[in-house]
Amino acid sequence: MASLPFTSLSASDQGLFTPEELRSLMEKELSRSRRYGYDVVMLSIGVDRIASLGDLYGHESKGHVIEEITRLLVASTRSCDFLGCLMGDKILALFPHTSEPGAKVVANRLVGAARELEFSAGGPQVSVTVTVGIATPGSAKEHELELLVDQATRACQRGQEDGGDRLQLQAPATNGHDTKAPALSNTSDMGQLMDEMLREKMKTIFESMGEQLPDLEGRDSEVFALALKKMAEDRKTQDSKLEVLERRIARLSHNLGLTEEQLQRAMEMKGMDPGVASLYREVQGISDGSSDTELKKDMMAAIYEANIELQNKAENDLDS
Amino acid sequence: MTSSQQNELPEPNETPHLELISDDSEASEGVLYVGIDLGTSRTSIAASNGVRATVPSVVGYPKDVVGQKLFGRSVLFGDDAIEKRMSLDFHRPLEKGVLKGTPGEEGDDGDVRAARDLINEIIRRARPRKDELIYAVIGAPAEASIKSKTAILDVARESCDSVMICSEPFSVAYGQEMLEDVLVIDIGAGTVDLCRMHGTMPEDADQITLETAGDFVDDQFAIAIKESNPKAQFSKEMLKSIKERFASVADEMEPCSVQLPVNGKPTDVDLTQELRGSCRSIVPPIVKGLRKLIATFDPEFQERLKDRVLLAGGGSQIKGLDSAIEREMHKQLGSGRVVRIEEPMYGGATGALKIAHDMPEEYWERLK
Repeated sequence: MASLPFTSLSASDQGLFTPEELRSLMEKELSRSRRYGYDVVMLSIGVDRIASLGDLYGHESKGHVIEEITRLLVASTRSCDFLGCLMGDKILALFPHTSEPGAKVVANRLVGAARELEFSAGGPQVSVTVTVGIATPGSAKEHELELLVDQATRACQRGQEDGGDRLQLQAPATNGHDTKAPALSNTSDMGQLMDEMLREKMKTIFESMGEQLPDLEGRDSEVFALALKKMAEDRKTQDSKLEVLERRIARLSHNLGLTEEQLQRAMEMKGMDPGVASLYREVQGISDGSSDTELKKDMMAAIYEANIELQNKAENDLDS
Repeated sequence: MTSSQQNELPEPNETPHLELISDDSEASEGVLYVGIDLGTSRTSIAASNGVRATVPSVVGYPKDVVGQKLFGRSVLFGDDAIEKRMSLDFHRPLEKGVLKGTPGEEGDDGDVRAARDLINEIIRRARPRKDELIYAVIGAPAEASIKSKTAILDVARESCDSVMICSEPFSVAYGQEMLEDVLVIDIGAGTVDLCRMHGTMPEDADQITLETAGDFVDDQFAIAIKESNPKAQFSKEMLKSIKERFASVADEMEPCSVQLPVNGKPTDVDLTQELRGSCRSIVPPIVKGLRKLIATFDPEFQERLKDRVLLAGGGSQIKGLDSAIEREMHKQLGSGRVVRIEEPMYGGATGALKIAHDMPEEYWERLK
């Protein structure tokens, strides 16, 4: 069995199982559900445009957002649910004894609650939205953890591609074929499999119309033209994304300029040495600021001790 | 706001860091840090939720049931109490920056209760959530006795979950982030506190408390008016109000023309000279105190100390006072530079709030 690319974001795993715990618990739960025939539902929860948030406000902010979403998830689920650790930027959750309608209720609640969260970016307010992908195992094969996780994650991705801020069910199974995930060794295998799946689908469509599947041999030029058209559309989308990225780079460069100006002003006010050496001192925590921190710590300790003395004096007076 | 609008990312002009604004899941926990400047004339508070408030340090209790019904309250504070003082059992619970009475001792004449109610009221004005713990730092005059400090702690403890006392001028300096080679002048109503900051916690030798403060100016003003206008009638409150409106030490000041009753008839009087003279009376003692602190400092750093004098407190709002102290310093000490802090009324409270913030959590826990 191929292993899933489980990774955890350390800042965001509050209240979640570790990847190892989650894998073990989910596998056992899926096995039990298959054996005793009860419902389980897998949810994949993703914060929409999380990469952009990370770019604009830093990795720490990204972790902070995921942490808040996790907290919401923990608050809106039962203690018996397996709230998963992260896979990439997605949070996984397995709900035992829960049907698809039940999962929809939870997902809708989470999507709605996420809309209410507001974050401050030092001035402008930023709202986030989440997309929840839902997958339920149908056949015995689909009780395999990797397959179920894959379906939930794909559903989540599809929801995010369609604009996010929604719940998205897994793609409906057609004769059980499209939910199976055979091991693919390389790209040519995948292409071959896609061809076969397409042929099967076309055959089904034509049969439903009471006709035989026509021979598609010799239609290469039409297929090629269609492929070119599709590529042109894709390129247009990519160009648009590229433009957005370029705008972001410009903004970040502008911000960097502002930060450097601020730093320069701070250095002038503090009477620091200009140049790399003083920056090095700041970064290494050996600058004037750091000695100030130590000084403040000492002062806080002195105030505290003076107040302890006062407290003791007051207690002694009371006793006497 | 529509969903798509919500998702648009803003122009990141500020420091790029996201912080959660609203989170109801955390509503059941939290601490409200407050800094309190418990002054003879005014009590100010600065809280970590951004609220700042100030109230005259006066408390009044209706004298009888009729008064209580009339006012609809059992206790009145600040301007409300001043306005209705004739119908109230009226208290100024602080004198020279400390409590008049001592908790638990006889003869406090209700001042301790008034102080307790005043602290409770100022904390209420900081609008804490019901479930929040209150951690407070209260500024006390530099040379307040241990007895006075324990008395303040005692009355404050009823309104706060954990409370500390610190020197008022120190909290001003701390709030301004000026911890080294600075002289602080904190002019209140009851006391003028002078404090020498030199990179460590100030000790007794670094602090001086003078009684030539706002109330002293009022007394001098009253004496001067009695001399120049023997038939004029006035109360302390009236003089205080005139002082707050016109106070100045400048040669060219706004004429202090007011009406005072003379034999029951409102009469125009010019009190410019009297007010200027009264305000100027606090300058020599302050510079004398500064001189003492400078002269006993390391000679190598005395010049630096003279050039870094901070002026704070309600009394620092006397127009031209910074220049007058500077001139007197030049005359007595050869040089000097005085800077008035931006918000003199809140200098002590914001500094105390900063201390409360910087105080490690474990210290607060141990003092509960």
